Amino acid sequence: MRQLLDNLKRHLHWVVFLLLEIVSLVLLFRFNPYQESVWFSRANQVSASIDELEHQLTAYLNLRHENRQLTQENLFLQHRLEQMRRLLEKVPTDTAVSNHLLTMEQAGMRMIPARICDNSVRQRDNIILINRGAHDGIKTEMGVVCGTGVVGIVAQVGPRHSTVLPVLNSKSSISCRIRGSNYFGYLRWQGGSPLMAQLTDVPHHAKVRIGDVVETSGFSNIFPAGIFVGRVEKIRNSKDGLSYQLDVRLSADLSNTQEVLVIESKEIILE
Amino acid sequence: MLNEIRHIWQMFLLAAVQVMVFNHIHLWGYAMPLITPLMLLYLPINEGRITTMLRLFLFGSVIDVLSGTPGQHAASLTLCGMMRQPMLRLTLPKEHLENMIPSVRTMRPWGHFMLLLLTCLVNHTAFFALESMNYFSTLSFLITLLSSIVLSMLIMMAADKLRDRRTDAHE
Repeated sequence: MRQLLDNLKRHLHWVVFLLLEIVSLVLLFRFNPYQESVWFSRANQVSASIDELEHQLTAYLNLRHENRQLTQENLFLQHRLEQMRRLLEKVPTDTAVSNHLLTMEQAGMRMIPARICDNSVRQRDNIILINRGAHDGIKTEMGVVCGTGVVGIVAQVGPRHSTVLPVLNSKSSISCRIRGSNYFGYLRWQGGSPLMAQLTDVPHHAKVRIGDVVETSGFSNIFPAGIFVGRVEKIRNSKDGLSYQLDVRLSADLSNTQEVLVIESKEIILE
Repeated sequence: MLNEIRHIWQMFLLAAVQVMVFNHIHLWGYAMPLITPLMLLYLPINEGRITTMLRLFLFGSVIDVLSGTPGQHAASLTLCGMMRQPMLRLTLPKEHLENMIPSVRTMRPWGHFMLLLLTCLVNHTAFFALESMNYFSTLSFLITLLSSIVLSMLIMMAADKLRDRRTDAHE
């Protein structure tokens, strides 16, 4: 305390100086019209700059929320596109009926946003931990997707966290098909690049070309049909020679994904 | 006490001359003499910084009230008061009396000139910067500043010479 007082005493002239200058400047800007106008115009400029900075900062801080919204929207649009395509094939003449069916189909799906807490892509059997659990309505065997594609399937559920078996796990097997045809296979990962997986058991008579889109088939209740998985990059024969094995470049980069959506399908909701 | 009365008298005299005479001079639209820094030269060198600043703030405020420029002289003279000690350290001769009043007689002419110049530089820069508040016309600002410093110094040196002569006459 004494040291503080000593310090204050030693620098008292600075305090007095600042005080007197502040008084002078207040008088200057308060009672001189020219200086006052210049001060206000400068102050407005500074204020505008600060507002701009604050706006940018707020926008940056809201990016997570916006990202989640976009992911949700993207998935919804993918799903809606696929539904429309299928329904329009069925009812090509009556658009009112098509819309009605479409609405009914989409009403049964709910999405739970989640954030990845822990992730790995370098191991043989990778695991993802998300920050949603049983308390949030998560159950095993729910599909997990991100804005760019399929992530995996919920394997274990804790009260507040869940473990996801991602595509990048040797035990993962997701039913997928080639867009535009009904030929399907199983998406598996055999290690290596986290951006490449294999679609196995595609029959030889299926017409497949490099660049074709691979999407979820919708045969199980885990994923709805039409969620983008990736594109065919290479076509090979399987080891037994009875089917194709397609190398698929995955659309979702799991090493760089933070926001995901857990899909609660119609059947699970009905349960 | 007598000294204090003398300082107050000097203060009002300088303020009156500045307001009534020099405030109305604008040579070629630029040079305006400011003799307010003279007040600094009338104070003993051992006067405390805080006392000097308060005195100069009061002096500046008096001129501001009379000139209709609130805060302008007060701010620039307070700055001068704050800078007085460093300026004296630079210009005072090595051997000097503790309570001497700076003048050509007590300091060497060069030291006195430098003290006057530095004081004018600080005071005038602050004063004209606060007056213009606009640095787009740098050339005009520099011309005003330099011409005012030259004119002010000429007047202040003449005033100082007069003071020295009066002191000599008294002695």
